[in-house]
Amino acid sequence: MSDFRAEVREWIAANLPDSIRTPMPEEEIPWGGRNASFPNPQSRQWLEAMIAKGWTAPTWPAAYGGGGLDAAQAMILQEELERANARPALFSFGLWMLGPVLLEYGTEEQKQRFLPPIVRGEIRWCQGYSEPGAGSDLASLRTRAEDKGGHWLVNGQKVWTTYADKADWIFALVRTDPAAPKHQGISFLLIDLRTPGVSVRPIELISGSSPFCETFFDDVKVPKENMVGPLNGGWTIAKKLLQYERQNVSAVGFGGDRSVRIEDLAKQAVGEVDGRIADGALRNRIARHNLYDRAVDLTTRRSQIDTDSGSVGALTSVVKYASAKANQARGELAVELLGLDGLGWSGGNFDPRDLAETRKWLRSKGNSIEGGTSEINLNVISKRVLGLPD
Amino acid sequence: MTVSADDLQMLEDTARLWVRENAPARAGLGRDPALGPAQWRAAAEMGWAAAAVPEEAGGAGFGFTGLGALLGEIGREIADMPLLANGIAAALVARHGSDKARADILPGLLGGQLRAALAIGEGAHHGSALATTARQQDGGWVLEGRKSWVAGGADADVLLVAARGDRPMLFLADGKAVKVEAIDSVDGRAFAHVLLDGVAVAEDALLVGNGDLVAHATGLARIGLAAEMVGAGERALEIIVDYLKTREQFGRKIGSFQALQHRAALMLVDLELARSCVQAALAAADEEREDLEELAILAKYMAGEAIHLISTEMVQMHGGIGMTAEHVAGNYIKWARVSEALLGGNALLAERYATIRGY
Repeated sequence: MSDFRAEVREWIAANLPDSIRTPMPEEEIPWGGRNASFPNPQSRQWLEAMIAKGWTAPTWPAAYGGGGLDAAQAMILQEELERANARPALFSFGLWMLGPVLLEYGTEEQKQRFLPPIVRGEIRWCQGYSEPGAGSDLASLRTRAEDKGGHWLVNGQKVWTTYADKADWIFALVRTDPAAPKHQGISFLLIDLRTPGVSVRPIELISGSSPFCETFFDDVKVPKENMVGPLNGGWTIAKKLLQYERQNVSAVGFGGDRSVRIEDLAKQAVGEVDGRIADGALRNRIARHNLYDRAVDLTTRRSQIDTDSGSVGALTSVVKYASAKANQARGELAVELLGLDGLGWSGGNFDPRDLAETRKWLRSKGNSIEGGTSEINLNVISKRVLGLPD
Repeated sequence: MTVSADDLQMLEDTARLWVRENAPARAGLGRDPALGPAQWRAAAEMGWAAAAVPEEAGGAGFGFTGLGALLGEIGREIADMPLLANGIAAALVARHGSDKARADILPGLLGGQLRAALAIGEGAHHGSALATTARQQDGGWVLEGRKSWVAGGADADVLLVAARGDRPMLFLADGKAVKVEAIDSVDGRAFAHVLLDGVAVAEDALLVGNGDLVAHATGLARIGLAAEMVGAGERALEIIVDYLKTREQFGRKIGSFQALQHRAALMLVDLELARSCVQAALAAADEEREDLEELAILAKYMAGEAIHLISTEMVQMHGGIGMTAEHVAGNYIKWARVSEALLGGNALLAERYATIRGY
C-alpha cells in the first residue's frame, strides 16, 4: 500500500462519523449554502473535516482551498472513501460545474473571490442556461445583459434552474450582442440571487417533486467584474461547463437510490426457488439490466479519471446517454414488477417504499432531457467524436 | 504487476502496425490463405505470448492488461492467431503448473515454439457444464470426454483441458495424445473438436491452485476473447464511419443523415461501455481479484452486445456491397457471431451472473 493510501485510510478511520457510513436519505444531502441545514449534525462534522483537508475539491489548488492532489492521488482518495462507504461531504453545482470553469477561464481575482466559498460549501450555486425558447437549441437564448457603463442590466427569464429557490448565486448565459450570430453574442455572468429584480418560482414535475424553477430577471443590476471570460465569448465556456454538467448529472446517478435492489423486487413479484427469482425469463432480464448498469458505472468512473487528469472527453456524452437509459430502464422494471402497487400516488393503502418507486420512475423520465437531451448527446457523439458531416 | 500507460500505448501502437501489415482483415469466403505459421513465429519472437507472464518467470511482465492490448489489436483485424490460447496457457502454467511443466513446457509456450489450445468449452453452447471426466489411475490421471470448438485445436502441441474429478480440474495434455476433428466454421477460423478417449496424463500435468481453476481459466479466456471482440468492434465501426463519410446518395454524404448518425453514435456508446468492462476485467486479472469471474462475464457480455450491434449494422449500412463476398463486412459479422457463442452466449452469461450474484 502506498504511503498516501495508508495516510488517507487512517485519516478516514479517525474522522468519518458512524452515521455518515450509511446510505444517505435525500433530506440529509449536504448542499451547503447560506441557508445550509444539517438534519444530521454528523454531516456538518464530516463536511468540516473534509474542508479542513481541502478534500471537498481534492484536485483544486490549495491556494483556493482545494486539496492540491494530482489525479492519481484523487483516485486513491475516491477509492478509500468508497471503501469506507463514506457519503459525499458536499453536493454542489459550484464544485462540479462552475469551479472547473473558473479555474480555466476566471481572472485571478475571480478565483480568489469565488472558489474558496465553493470549497467550503458557503455559497450554493445554480445554473441559468435554458430558457422557454432555448432548450436543445440553447444558443438561441434571449436573456439580455446591457452595458450601462457601471454595471450590466439584465432582463429575461431562465427555466429549469435546478434549486434556484434554495441557491445563493446563479451562473447564467446572457446575450450581450443581439446583432451578432447567435453563438457569438453570448457572455457568461455571475449573479447574486439577492439582487433586487430577481424572482424565482418552483416548477412542479410529473413526479410531484419540484427541484426545478423558473427564474425571472427584471432590471437586475450586475457588477461589471462578474463576467467570466471575454465579452461575447461565453459560448466556449458554456460548452465546457455542459460537459462537466453531463458528467455530473450521471455521476450522481440522477439521485437514483440503489438501496432497493431490482432483483429483490423481482423475488417479491414472482417468488423464489432456492433463493433465486422463480421465473427464468424474468431472471435473465434482471441480470441483463444489472450487467448494463454495472457497465455504465465502470464507464462513469473511467470518464471521471479523464476529468481528474484535466481532459473532459469523448466519454462525457456516452456516459450521459447510457446512464439515462439505465436509470429509466430500472424505473420501468420497478413499476412493472410492483404491478398496480407501483401505480399509487399517495395514501395509507400503499407501502411508502412502493410510492417512492413510482415517484422515481416518473422522475427518471427527465434523465434523457435534463443536462442535454439524449438526442443532443447522440448528435455530439456523431459529430464531435465520430466526425460525421453536417 | 502493472504496465505503465506509456508502455501500454507503445505496445498497442507497435502491434497495430504489425497486425495491419502482416495479418490484415480481408474479404472473401473461407480460411484466410495468407495466414500461417510464419505470422505466429514472428509475433512470438516479439514476445507476445509472454506478455502476461511476470519477468521473474521468464515473461515480459506486461500483465493481462498488456496481453489484452495485444489481443485487441489482433481482434481489430479479426486475425486467426493463437495468442489468446498461448498467452493464457503460459500465464496459467507459470502460476499453477508443476515444476516439471514449468521446466519442460513453459519456455516453449513463452517463445511460441509450442502452440497451445484451450480445451474448456463443450457442446453447442460452450456453457459451464463440464462432462469431461478425470479419474486417477497408476499415479496419474485418465481424461475422458469431448471438447467442442477448440481454437487452434488441430495444430496444438499442448492442450489445457478442463475436466471433472472430485472437483473441476485443469490438466496439460499432449496434442499428439488426443483425436481432433477439424471444423469448417462459418468464419473460417481454425477450430477443432477434441476427443479425449482415455488420455493418460501424469500427476504433474495437473495445475494446482486455490479455488476453482477451471472457473479461473474460463474467466481469463472470456476476458481475452472480450478484448479481441472490442478490438473487432472498434475497427468495424471505423470502417462503417469511413463509408458514411464517403458514400453519396441524393447528392450528399449519407453520413449527414441524422437517422444514420444516431445509429452510429449508439454503436460507439455500446463499444465504450464494453471497453470499460474489459479494462476493469483485465485489471482484476492482474490483481488476482476474487470477483474475476463476475467481471469476466460482464466483459464478455457487454463485448457481445456491442459487436452484435456493430457487425449487424456494418452489413446494413454498407447496403448491397455489404452483402457481397467482396467486402470485409461479411467476415466481421461471421467472426462476431462465433465469438459471441464461444465460452457461453449472452443468455447463458446473464444466467450465470444471476447465480453468482445470488438471484
